[in-house]
Amino acid sequence: MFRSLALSALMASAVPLASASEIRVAISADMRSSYPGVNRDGYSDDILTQITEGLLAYRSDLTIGPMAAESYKVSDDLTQYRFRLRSGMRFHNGEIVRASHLKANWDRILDPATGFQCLPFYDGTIGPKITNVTAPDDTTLIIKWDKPNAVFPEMLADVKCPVAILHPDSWNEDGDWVKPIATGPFKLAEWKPGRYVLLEKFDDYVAATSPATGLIGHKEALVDQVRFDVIPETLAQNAALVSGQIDLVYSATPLTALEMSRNRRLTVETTAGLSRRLLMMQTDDPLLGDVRIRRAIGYALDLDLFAEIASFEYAQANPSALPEVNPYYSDAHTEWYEHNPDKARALLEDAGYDGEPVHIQTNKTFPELFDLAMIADAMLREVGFNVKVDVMEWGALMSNYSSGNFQILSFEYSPRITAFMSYNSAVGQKEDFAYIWENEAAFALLKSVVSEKDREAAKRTYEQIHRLMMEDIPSINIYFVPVTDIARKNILGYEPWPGMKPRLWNVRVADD
Amino acid sequence: MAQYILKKILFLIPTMFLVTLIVFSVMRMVPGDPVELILRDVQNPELAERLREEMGLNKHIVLQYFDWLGRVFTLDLGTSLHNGQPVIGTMFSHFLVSLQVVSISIVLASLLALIGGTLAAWQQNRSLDVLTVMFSITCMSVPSFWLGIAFILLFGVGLQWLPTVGYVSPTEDFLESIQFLILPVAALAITEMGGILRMVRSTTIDVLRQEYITHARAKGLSEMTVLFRHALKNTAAPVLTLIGFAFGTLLGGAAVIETVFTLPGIGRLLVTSIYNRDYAMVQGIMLLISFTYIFINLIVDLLYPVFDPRVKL
Repeated sequence: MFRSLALSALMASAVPLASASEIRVAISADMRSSYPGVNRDGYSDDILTQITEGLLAYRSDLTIGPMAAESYKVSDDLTQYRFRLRSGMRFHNGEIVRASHLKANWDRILDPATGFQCLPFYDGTIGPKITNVTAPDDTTLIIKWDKPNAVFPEMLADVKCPVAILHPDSWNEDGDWVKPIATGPFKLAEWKPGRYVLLEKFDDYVAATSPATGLIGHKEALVDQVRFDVIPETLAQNAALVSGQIDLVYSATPLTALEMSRNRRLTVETTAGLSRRLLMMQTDDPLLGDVRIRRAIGYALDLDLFAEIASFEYAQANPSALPEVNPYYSDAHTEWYEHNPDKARALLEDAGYDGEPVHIQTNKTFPELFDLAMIADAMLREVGFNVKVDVMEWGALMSNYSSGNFQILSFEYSPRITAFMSYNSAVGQKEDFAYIWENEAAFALLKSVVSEKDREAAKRTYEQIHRLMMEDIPSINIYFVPVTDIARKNILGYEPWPGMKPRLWNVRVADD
Repeated sequence: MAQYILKKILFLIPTMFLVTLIVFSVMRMVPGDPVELILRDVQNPELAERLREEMGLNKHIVLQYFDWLGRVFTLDLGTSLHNGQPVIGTMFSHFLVSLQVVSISIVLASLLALIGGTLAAWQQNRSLDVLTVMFSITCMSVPSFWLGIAFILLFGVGLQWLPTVGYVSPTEDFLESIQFLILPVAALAITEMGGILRMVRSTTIDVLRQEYITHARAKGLSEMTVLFRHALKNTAAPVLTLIGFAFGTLLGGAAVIETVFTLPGIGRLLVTSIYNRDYAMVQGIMLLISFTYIFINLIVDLLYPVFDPRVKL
């Protein structure tokens, strides 16, 4: 009797499926913390995108628009930004958002003790410095810079280091972080480390009236809860998705997308992405320091074929540091070395290359980066390079990346939406970053963009930097990783976004 | 007995000290920097330097070791370098999950193996014995992760009877927690059962040849009484060592099965922490695992005389 009762109780519930008022999302690693911009990583950002909002954010076409701001004005000399807040906005604790709250946020961010990861963009380390933040009334915030700053809106909208609007109660009396009391359509309800992060609909959310696009506009939580389940293994994610235990897998690999596209219960959607896969070359290396060797590598690689194989035909080659979807991208960014093995061989002969080993460092934590190294290996061998592929553990590889201890590194840059940040991670001074491309002309051009008000002029500057990059060839950009999200068919209104962040507002669950 | 326990506890001190020294040194020798892994491709050298200072990574390695060791004596294992959570709390919550899964698996595997192995020994060289030996070899040959994946595909994806990933604590929802445990427990129990089964069988065969068994049979006792009252008790002593070993090993080493089923256990936490170069967490977990292993061995030693009165501690 007891046995049959227990069995029927177990089997009756069978697989605990996500309910109609909940969306369950697979996330590959746990949130590091809920402190935006400070103790963060990409996974934390993915979750916090649902909870927090900043003054500005990206639209679907990757242009910038107001989010918590209703509007903003820039002074003619680009040194003063005046933001007007959207009226009626409330924090998750019900309190009305005032400009003084934002000023307090900025004071905290500008304090080095806070440890805001992107502080160098605001304290004068990279470009101009914020000199003053004031809140003359409840709805106005003024930020002043010591020098013209045309890229400030791009920094503010950045998905990696958003300046989130947070209530003072997000910290305790000792100034320690507690949890985000923010302004987004969802609020943090529960975090079970290693298991899940549960978000709840914020009932008093005051949505903007403009149409929803990208991260801005009319956002509405259409489900009561969103739960991010920590599922590190791809196979386990797929199994959970197919069995209905979760509703959504975002940033899936092309291989997963191919497999899942055959399942009638799932929708696979792909859009252009911003995460750049590339081969970085150490220009300080005795062998690769010779630009002829680097150019030989440029001619040896058939980028179209490379991208086709590496991305399972989901992406096209792009030799630029800018994705096609970037507003500053132009035809000039398609200029690159044509695949020409004969030219590669001639350059090698000219440089006196005598079969010295060329090491490509890669890892298997991210199999796509391993594939990149293997394809490069095959193409470079064809022109006579003596290639050695060194497979390393991810932590060791990151250490070599930081110290510049590599010849060629198969690498991926996390999404950088802004053109400035894309190039800022590539060009600089080796005394600061050993891995970086050191080119004075390119660095000066990049610095000049910061004070460039004219977008067309800025566009031309980025074209010039690309040409210098082609000439110097410190790295070879292969392709931008397409964003592929897989949802169950009953998830309605969900769309992937090039910024690689899931957007779970305006999404509802229909009956399965 | 008391002297034996005291001796064992005293033995624990140098062992644990050695463990701390090895774990600490090995972790520092592995290439990779926790700060680099936190910041990844964010360019902020000042912050990197400040984080290193806050984490004490700028100090000489010997100082770092003694700082940490000093805190261990006050039961302060510090905070995770990766996410700032307290090591002790995180570690224990994950340990309890592993303890739950491993305990049930080992108890289940042991019970089935004791019954199956005893019966196989009794029926030596007959079809039941042959089948049991074949089954035990199969259990030992199949890796637990493969079995786990096969179970997920069959019972989770195909039949949709059971959840494929996740964990629910029995204190949250008892019935639901059972659903989440069935597949990982089954996968672990089956793979662990093979070795125990073979051990029980071979030990029982030896025991059944003893004179006191012949005497028991001559007294007219039923075969089941002979097997399960007289033979099994003597079989249990050596088998207990194997069970204790398996239990101790699995408590820290079930990382693969925990990953396949997305269980927030201590093994998975250890692997993740190693990848993140979360020194404080790895050191804490290794201490806990070593302590548990030694503690289980102590329990096994103390249980030995219960099953074999000839053994004196």
